[in-house]
Amino acid sequence: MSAARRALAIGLGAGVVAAHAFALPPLLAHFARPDLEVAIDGPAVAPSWSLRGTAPVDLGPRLTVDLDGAPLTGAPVAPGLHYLRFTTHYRGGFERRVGAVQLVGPFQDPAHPPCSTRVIVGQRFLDDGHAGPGTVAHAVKAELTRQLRGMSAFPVGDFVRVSDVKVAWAERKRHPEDLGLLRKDDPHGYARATATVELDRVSVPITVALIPKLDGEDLRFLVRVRAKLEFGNRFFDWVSDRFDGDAFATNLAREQIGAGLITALGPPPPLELPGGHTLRFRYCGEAPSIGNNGYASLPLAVAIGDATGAEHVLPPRYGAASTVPPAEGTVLALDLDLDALNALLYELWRVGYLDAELERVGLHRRFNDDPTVQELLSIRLSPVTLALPPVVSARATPTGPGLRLAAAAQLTIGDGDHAVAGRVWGGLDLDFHRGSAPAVGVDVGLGPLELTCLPSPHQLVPCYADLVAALRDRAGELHGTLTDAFAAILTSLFVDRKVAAEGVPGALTIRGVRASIPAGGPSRENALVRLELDATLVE
Amino acid sequence: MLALRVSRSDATDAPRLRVAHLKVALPDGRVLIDNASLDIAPGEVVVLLGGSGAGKSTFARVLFERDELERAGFDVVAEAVTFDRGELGLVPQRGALFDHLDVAGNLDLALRYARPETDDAAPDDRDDPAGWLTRVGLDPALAKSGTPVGRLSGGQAQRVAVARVLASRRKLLFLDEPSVGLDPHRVRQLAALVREQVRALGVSAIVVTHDVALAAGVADRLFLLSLADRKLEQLFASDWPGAMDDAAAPVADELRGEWLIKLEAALVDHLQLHGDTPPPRGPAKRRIGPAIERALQPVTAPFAVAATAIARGPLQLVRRPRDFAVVAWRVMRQALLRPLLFYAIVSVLIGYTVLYVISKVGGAGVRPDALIRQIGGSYVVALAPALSAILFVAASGSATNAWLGAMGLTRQTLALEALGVDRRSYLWGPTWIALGLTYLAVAALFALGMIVGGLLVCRQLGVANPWELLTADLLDPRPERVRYAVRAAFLVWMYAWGIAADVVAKGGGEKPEADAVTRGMTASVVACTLWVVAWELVTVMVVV
Repeated sequence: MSAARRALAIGLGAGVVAAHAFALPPLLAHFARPDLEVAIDGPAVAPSWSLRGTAPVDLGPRLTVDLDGAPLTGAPVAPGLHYLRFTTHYRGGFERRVGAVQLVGPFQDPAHPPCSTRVIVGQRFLDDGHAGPGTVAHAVKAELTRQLRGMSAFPVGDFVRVSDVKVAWAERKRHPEDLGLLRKDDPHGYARATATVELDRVSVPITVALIPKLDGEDLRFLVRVRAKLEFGNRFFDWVSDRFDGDAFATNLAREQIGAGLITALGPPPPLELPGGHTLRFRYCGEAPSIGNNGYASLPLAVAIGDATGAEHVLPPRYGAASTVPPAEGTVLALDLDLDALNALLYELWRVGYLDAELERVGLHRRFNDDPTVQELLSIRLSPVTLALPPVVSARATPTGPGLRLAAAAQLTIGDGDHAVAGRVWGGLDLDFHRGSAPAVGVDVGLGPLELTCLPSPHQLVPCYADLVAALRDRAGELHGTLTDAFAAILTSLFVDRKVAAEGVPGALTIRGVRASIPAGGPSRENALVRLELDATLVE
Repeated sequence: MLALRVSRSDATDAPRLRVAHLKVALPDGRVLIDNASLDIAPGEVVVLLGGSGAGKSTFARVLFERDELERAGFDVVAEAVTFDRGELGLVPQRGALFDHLDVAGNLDLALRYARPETDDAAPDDRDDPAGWLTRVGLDPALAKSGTPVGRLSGGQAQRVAVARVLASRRKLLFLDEPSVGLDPHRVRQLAALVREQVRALGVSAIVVTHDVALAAGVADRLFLLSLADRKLEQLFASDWPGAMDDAAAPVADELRGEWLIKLEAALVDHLQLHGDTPPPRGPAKRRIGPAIERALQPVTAPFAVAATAIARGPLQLVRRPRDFAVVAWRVMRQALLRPLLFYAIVSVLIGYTVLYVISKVGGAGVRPDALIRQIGGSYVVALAPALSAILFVAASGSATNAWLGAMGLTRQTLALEALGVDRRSYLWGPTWIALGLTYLAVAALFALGMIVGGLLVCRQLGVANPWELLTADLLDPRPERVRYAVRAAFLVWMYAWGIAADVVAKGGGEKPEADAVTRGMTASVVACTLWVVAWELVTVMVVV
């Protein structure tokens, strides 16, 4: 080979190498795969579902879109918090996800909150059949005995005992003997108490009807009494009139029985929140419902404040949940439907209580200060706040009915000098029929956990997907912790709490709580959570 | 018996070789050949005698490798060195039969390259390898397919070499020390054979030897490359009786003995007097250009090989697919099949070890399976190209390098050229392509082995769907990892042709001694490793 040809060959060979070197960047660009990037369009809060997202078309079949984990069908979307998720799938089970949240109406009206809560007072709370301790009947008997002890009046003689104390929920059609006590416009149900005051020479049978009446936001019990001293002698009847047995019995009923019922049937006391806010229930205008020897239930509403923020945020309204009678033997129960739960969460969110609690718990601090995180990860989190009120929705599971508490949180994720806004979509799955029943009857597990970054307000990109996936994979490990934490919250809210009405000698004391979804629920949209309270009346 | 017979009168035609006032000096100025002139007529056999270091081989290189000689720094000056390159054939020392071909393959190659590519004429008896073996007195059964050249005796090999060069229809034969290793009987047989073929085919021959029996047996004229003054002297110019082993002109044993003694005496006297005389020193010509070229040659040669192979490899595949396949198969066999188990074991071991160590580096509290899930198949993407490349250079590259080097060392490459077979088309192109493809296969095998090693770790740790997990980065990487997969593919591609080019360049380079072969192997391993390191760094910078 001549020198010239040889030089030419060397030049060509070097040229091939150089061409390869220069070809690498375009090659990388050519084979670059479009990452998931979604342009999102729609408000965070809307009366009906209106969120739209646009993803790169060349993602092709590896892209799936779902709404709350189910394929998009175009069917009407139920009220509540919904998560529109875009997922790209890769070999090895790897996924990239982004999503956006919309709170869908209709919404609750702060001026007319729905009757979403029912206080249920079971027959057993009134009387266990023996006027046993902790019942209203027992309290009545004890108080009567205390007040009459040592009483001596001519000619009836000295007080001996109080006997045959009975307190029951009654319907007028089943007690024709009480027609004289009831009026036409009285409700069909009432509380009926009977007792016999035994004196040396006479026995005084007393029948008291306590008729519930709603007066504005106040529940009162009208007391009608039939008491008759039975002497069988005109002289003694005269004496009886002087004794004014009816007045005695009326006072007794009003003080002992009526106040006890009001304590039990009344709204739970307001919960004081930081910043002078309160969380309170109020009467919602529906009359109590009473069944013979069964139970009484009083509908209540959760008082909520006005809409907040530019988005006009309010809790969703699912509509009336079907009522389910309490189980036999129920003492006291609280039925909360989804509207009640969401109204409570909304209020807690609206007044900043939830954000303050998140700050107090310090998820971001726990993450940032974790030695493993500090050693292995470069990302740091800002405090987490809730972008929208958390929402509870019904969730059907193969093992039974359940609920999901979902929340959309916002934070800033720092990675070195780079910071990006992040949105977390997270949830807790509450399962009421799974495995061995925990103390409060609820298993709690980590539900969805998604992280989306927003380089701009309407641009969604995946971030730290593998990290989030690793956390998601560990959800099972959190099951026990979450369940215990939930049980602790319920217990701290109810157990050992004493509720006393003014002027009432006894106090309602709650010794335990157990949550359940009554048989028959949940319906597709609304659901009912029943908190069965192991309550007793302590004199 | 022979189809071609050329009358002695042809010898009056124009010379087949004309060398006028040739002077060859070493790079340091020492003169090896000074003012040598020689004409060889058709049908004439000229013998060049001389002691060791007299310049006999240098004379051959002037004819066959003048460019390489000059590039090596030799100063070659001549008024004329005239011959038809297409007529010049070579019978190297010990025959230099192509050991990647069988006996028939050696002859067949010569025959096929002797025919023009456009020659559609039906093959005749001159295209039959067995016929050529018969012509040189060998058993035609040796032409049976699969007869390895390594099974031949020295005499048989030399005869096959003669047959090969004759089959190539060369008219000017250069026989380089053809009697080395032959017993006296075989030497006389060889001499008779040469004379017979010269007479039958009308070829001319230059026989370089210091074997007086061979010289006397074949020479029409005798020349001595003098160690005294480095000139070409004709011996017994006036009274040399002619070739003594020519069956057509038999010489009496007494006369033969007398001339053998005279010839030997002349040679021995010359060596006694001038055997230790150093070459006269002329002015050293310090030419910077060739020096720089030689210094840069290890770096530049692979580029030239790549360009040449790109141009000639595919062409060879189209024009001579059989030759392409023979060379490619040889390369693939020694570069892929033989070390296959080695690659399999090493790759599985590395894959297992790397993933096992990674799974444990998290220490207490870190789940190994979580680490492995994060790592996925990235350890293969990151490590397989570089590791497979370096191991490939060390094993397969060195094997191919050694084979090419041995072909040069045993002058098989020169023999190829002498048959009109372009080494760049016949050897370099197919070897470059086959070696590149082999590396692609080895890289894939290596990656698979590393994955298998990883699967073993995953199985130990109970990782779910390990196959999907470990192949994800290769087959369906996530967007942020695509660039690493592309980088790996790019690196494998660069290593494939880069390593192939360097191996061919180093292996196909000049091999004057055995040490040059091992030097070439070592140099190739170093160069290819640097190539790998350079591209690893460059691509890391580009990708990151």
